[in-house]
Amino acid sequence: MYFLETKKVIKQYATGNTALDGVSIQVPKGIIFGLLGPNGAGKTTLIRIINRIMAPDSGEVMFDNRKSLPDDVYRIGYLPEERGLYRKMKAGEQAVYLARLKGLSAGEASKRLHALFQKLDIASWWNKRLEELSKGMQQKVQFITTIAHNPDLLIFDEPFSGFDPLNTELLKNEIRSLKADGKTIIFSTHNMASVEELCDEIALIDHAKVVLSGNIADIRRKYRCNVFTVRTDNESLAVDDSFCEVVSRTKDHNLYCFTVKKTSDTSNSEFITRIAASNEIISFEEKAPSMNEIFINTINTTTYEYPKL
Amino acid sequence: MNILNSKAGIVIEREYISRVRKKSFLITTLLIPIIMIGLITATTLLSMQDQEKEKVIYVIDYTGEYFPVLQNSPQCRFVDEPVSSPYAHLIITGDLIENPKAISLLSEKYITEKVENNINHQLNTYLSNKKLSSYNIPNLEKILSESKIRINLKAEKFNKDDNQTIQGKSAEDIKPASPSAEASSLFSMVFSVLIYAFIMIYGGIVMQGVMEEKTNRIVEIIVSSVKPFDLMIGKLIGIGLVGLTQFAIWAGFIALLFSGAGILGYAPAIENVYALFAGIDIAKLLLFFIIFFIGGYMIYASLFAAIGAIVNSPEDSQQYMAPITILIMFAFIVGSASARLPDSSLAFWTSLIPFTAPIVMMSRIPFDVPLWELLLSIVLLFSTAIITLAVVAKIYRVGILMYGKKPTWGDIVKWLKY
Repeated sequence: MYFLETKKVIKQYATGNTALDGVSIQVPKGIIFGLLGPNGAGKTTLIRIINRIMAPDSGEVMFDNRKSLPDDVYRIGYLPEERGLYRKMKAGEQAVYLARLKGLSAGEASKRLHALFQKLDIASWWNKRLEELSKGMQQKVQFITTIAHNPDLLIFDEPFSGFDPLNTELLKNEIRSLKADGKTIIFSTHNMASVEELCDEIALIDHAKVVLSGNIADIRRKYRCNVFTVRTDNESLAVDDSFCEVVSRTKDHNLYCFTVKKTSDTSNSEFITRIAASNEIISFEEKAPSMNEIFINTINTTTYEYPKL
Repeated sequence: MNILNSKAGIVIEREYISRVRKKSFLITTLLIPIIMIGLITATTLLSMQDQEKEKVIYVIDYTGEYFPVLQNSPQCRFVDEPVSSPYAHLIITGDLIENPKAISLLSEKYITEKVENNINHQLNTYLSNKKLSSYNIPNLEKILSESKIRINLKAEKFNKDDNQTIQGKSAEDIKPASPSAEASSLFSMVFSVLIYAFIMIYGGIVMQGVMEEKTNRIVEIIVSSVKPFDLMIGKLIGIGLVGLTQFAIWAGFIALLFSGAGILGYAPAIENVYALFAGIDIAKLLLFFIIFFIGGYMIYASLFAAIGAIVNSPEDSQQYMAPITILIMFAFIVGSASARLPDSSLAFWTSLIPFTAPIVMMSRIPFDVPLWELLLSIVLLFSTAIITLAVVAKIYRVGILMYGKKPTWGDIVKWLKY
């Protein structure tokens, strides 16, 4: 069951640029889905199409297992990358306005927003004009306006930009609790560390196409490069050259840290047994590629395949 | 569908309330009439002061015939003896009937038209009387007085109805019944300036509003819940209503001023104003002002909205505004000309062309425009407004989400097809 699905979405701009070239993504219900890709890959266009800000040239958007309808925008909360609110308008009034545009009645919007302002400790800002607030405060107001109408699908485009570490943590917890409430979250970012931390699944878009998608754990498994980190308190590591090679050695707080590459086709258990047989091991760990590395590697190869015009 | 509960209705509400509540709205609404009244009073006082100054004109009349003819007026005093620093020298060297060029008026200063007219008028009357009497025409007096009435009637707005009752009355009696050409000109000027100012000012506010939403990027959030067309139309209507509110407040002020002055017993002063108003259908003027404002505003404000959507910064807007500003300035200039020549063919055609019609028509209405012209003009105006709105909606929809490089005119044409 997918909560949101795009099927072969194609979008071409008036200038002739193809922003999306047959993009299909599947977002299961209740997960955090990472929409990744370099600048200009087409992420914002895809998000705009999901938000029904634009219509695709061809292809379909499925929302909750049927074709997306105009009223579906009431069930989406969208935090764009480039944010802004009316500078001269009061924070509370502005939030009520945006919530009403998302289909809430004036009374209901006011009630919910007062509660949210209370919850995020910003109740005293209700009657402050936006320009009187700091950037971080404005971001908080903006975040509240995104979730005020209790949407089932949330789209956050670079949500952490402009937040200090403390508020970033607060926001991450907010996102986790939204997930716990059963909301589906699409999360677009360049910050790979936060992808690893939050996302369940991802789709990587480059040059208008999906170049990599799926469950994060699966992807990392797929991209494993058979490199392990072995820590011992011994100066050297006694291993058999036939099944592995030592790539490097570093000293770390009286411990020696070896990077070992597995060269033979053995399982991890067998591999560890054979190393453990001749060494006193303190820790042994497979060096999984970070999302950062996967990102860079994938984009590099695709750039190679689709040379820039 | 109830518009107030629709998305556009919510947008209208915000646009209207946030602007009407602003201090600047209150201040300009109160201040502009005060400044206007102040300026008018100041210029009137200044020009009156100028008029009051007596001008001494030294007449050097070689014939000796014409000096006695020249009568002193409050502004001009004619002398035939040298005085120190006279305003002007009037030199007459020969018989003016034989040689009309034998007269000249010399001065070191700029000679006002009034003085020149005064002398011309006095001498012309004298000379034509003299010439006429030389023909020995019977009943000359009667002919002259009849020709005088005709001159007076020409200066008034002449109604067909009045034609029936005119006989047996002197020119003086007719005056209050129909508006004088002067009063019509005054209303014509006031209303064409007013509609020009309203369209420019509120069109500009629309442009700023669109630009604000685009540059601070809130538009991306809004169009994720409202159709761009609803946002645009909501903005146009909301701001247009602010304009009409301001106009209504001013109209209310004026009504209050008059009734207040009437009650307080400044009746004679008010009567003069009423005499000026007499024959001018204020209700009709107000009605057409509102109709033509709405039509003109729809055209120009939506063009301004398109500019706001195209540009990325206020600095860029100048380039796109130039053609629109030129168009509306042209309308204003033609409008002022129409106040003097309301029946010229230029005034006729430009009051039908929708881009100039609101301003030119407002300057013509006080002089009475045939109903069919009014209706045709309104039909053309509103059909053009709807077409403009449809075209602008396409530009707006694309423009508000386009950032980065400034689009060329070619790009904008592409957006229309997109």
